[in-house]
Amino acid sequence: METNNRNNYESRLRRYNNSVSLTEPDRVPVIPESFHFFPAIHAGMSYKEAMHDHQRYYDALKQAVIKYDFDMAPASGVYSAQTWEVLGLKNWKWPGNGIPDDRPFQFQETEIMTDEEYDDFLLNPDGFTFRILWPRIAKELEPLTIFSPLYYNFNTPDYLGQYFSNPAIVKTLDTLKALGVAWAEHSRIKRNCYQELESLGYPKTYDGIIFPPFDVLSVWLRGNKGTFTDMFRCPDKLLAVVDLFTEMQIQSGIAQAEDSGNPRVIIFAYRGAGGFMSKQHFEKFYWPGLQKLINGLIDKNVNPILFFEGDATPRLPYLAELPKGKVPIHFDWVDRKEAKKYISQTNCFWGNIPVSIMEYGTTQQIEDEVKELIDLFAPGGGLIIDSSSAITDHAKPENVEALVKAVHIHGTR
Amino acid sequence: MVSQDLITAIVELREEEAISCAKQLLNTGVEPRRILEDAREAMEIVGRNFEEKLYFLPELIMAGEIMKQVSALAKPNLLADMEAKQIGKIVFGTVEGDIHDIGKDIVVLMLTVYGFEVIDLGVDVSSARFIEKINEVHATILGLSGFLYLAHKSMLETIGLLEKEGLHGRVKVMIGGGQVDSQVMKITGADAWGRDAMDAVNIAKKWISEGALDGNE
Repeated sequence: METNNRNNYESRLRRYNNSVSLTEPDRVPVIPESFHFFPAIHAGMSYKEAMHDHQRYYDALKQAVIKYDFDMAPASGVYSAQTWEVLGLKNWKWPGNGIPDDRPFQFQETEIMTDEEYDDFLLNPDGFTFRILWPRIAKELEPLTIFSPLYYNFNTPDYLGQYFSNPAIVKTLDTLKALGVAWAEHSRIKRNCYQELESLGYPKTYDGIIFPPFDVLSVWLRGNKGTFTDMFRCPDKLLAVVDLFTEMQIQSGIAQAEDSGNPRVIIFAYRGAGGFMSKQHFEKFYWPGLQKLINGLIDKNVNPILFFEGDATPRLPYLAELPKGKVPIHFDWVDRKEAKKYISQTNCFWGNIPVSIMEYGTTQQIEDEVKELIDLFAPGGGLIIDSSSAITDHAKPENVEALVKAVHIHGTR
Repeated sequence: MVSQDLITAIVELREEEAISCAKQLLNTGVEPRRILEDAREAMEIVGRNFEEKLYFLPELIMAGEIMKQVSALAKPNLLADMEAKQIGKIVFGTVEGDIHDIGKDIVVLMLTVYGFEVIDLGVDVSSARFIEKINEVHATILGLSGFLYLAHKSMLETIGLLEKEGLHGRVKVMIGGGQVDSQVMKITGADAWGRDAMDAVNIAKKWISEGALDGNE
C-alpha cells in the first residue's frame, strides 16, 4: 500500500472507530453501510447483468466508492445469480428467474418448517436441515430426502454406498461441485475488489452478516404469520429454537470475523421494530436473544453493528442497555430527539436520512438533514452519516454527492 | 354460553375456548349469522386495540386465525355471507415487479373485517390489471402495496394510467409498505398513504363517510 493510501486508510478507520467509541473524530464520517444495485445502475447495467457479471458489478462498486469518496467501502448486498441458479432456490426470485430484468431479487417468505416439526428440528437440527429443509429450499437438493438420519450409519459408513450409487444423488454431487465453482468465482472477484479498495485507502464496512435469533426463525423457518401464531400456540418450543439460534448466530459471527479478518459484523434486525410486537412479547421473545448475541460477540472481540429496520423509537430504552461505545446502531426510522436522549451517551447513531429524500428530495433537503443530525449527535462523537437504508438503487447521484459534501462542510471539527 | 363469551374469547386470543364456544352456541341453535357478527365485533375490538397500541401484529394475526376458524364453523365462506353488509369495494394488490405480501395480507384482512369488499389481486400486479379490475367491479378505492423502492415507480405508473383513463377522482388511491411516506405519496400522486392496517381502514372509512365514494354505483 502506498504511504498516502495507508495514511488515508488509517485515518478513515480511526474516524470510524472514534465515532463508535464516542470519541470526537476529526470529522463526522459518511459511510453507506452497504450498496445494492446503485453502482451498477449508474454504470449502465441492468439488475440481471449486475447479478451475473460479477467483474463488471464490482468494478462499478469500486468506482462509486472512489467517486463519492466515502469514509469506508460499503459492503455489497448483491448476490451471485449463478449460485442461486445452480441450486434452483425456490423462495428467491431474481431478474431472469421470476422477476423482470429491471427489478432486484426478492425473497418470498414461506413456512419451510411446520409448527408440528419443532420437536424434530430441535432433536437433530443438522439432520433436519440436510434431509428436510434443504430439499424444501432448493429444487436441486430435493434428492437429499432419500437419506436416512445420518447417525443410523455411524458405524457402517460403507452403507453410504446405497445413496451414492443412486443416480439422483450422483447428480446432486455434480450440482454441488458446480455450486463450488460458481461460489469461488464470485468470491474471488469480490475479494479482489475490496482488497483493491483497501490498498486505495478504504476499509470495508463489514464482512460478516448475522441476524437476531428471532428473525432467523421468523424470516427463514416459520415465516411471519407462523412465528406470530406460534407465540400463542407453542411459545416454549419457539423459545427453545430462539435459544438454539442465539448460539448459532454467535458462533457464525465469530467464524465470519475470523475468516474475513474484518472484526466488524452486521446484525440485521427486522421484527423487533416498534409496531411488530408488544413490549411484553419483545421482552420475552426478541430482546433477550438479541442482547445475548451482541454480548456474546463482544466477549470474543467481534465488533457488532446493529442495523435496526423499521421504527426503533419504542425500543430505545432497550438499545440504551447495550455496552457503551461498542455497538453502533444504524437507524431506519426513529424519533431523533428520543434517540438523542437514550442513545447519544451510550452508542453511535448511524443512518436515518429518509430514503425518500435520497430518491426524490433536493440537495438542500439533504444538507438540512445532515445538519440536523450533526447538531444533535456530533458533539462528543457518536455519529455516522448514511441514509436510513444505505444508498438505495435509485438514490439521485447528486443527492449522494450532497450527502458527502454536507458532512465535509458541517461535520469537520 | 352467550355471544359475549365468544367475543371475549376471540379478543383475548383464547383459541380453543373461542372455537368450543362457537360450537356450543351453534349447538344451542344460535343463528350462524349471529356467530359471524360476533366474530366481526370481536375483530373490531381487536382492531381498536391495535390502534391504541395495546395489540400488535401477532395479536392481529392470531385473532384473524381464530376468526377464520369460527367463521368456517358458522359458514364455510365468510366473505360471501358478509356481502350484504359491505360498505365499499376496494381493489388491492402489490404493484408490478414486487412480490412482497406480508403487509398487504394484513391490510386486506383488516379491511375485510371492517366490512369492505376487498378484491385482492395478489403480488406483481400490472397497472393494466388494476385498471381492468376496477372497471370490472366498479371499485372506488384502489390500495397499492409495495415494499421495494422500485415499487414507487410502479405506483406512479398505475396512478398515471388511472388518471389517463379518467378514473382518478372517482377512484381514490391509498399506498403503503416499506419506505412509503408523504414524500412518496406526493411523487406518486396517491391520495393518501398509511403506515399500517388500521391507517388503511381509517382512510377507507373516511373516504366512504365523506360520501365522495359510492360503493354501489
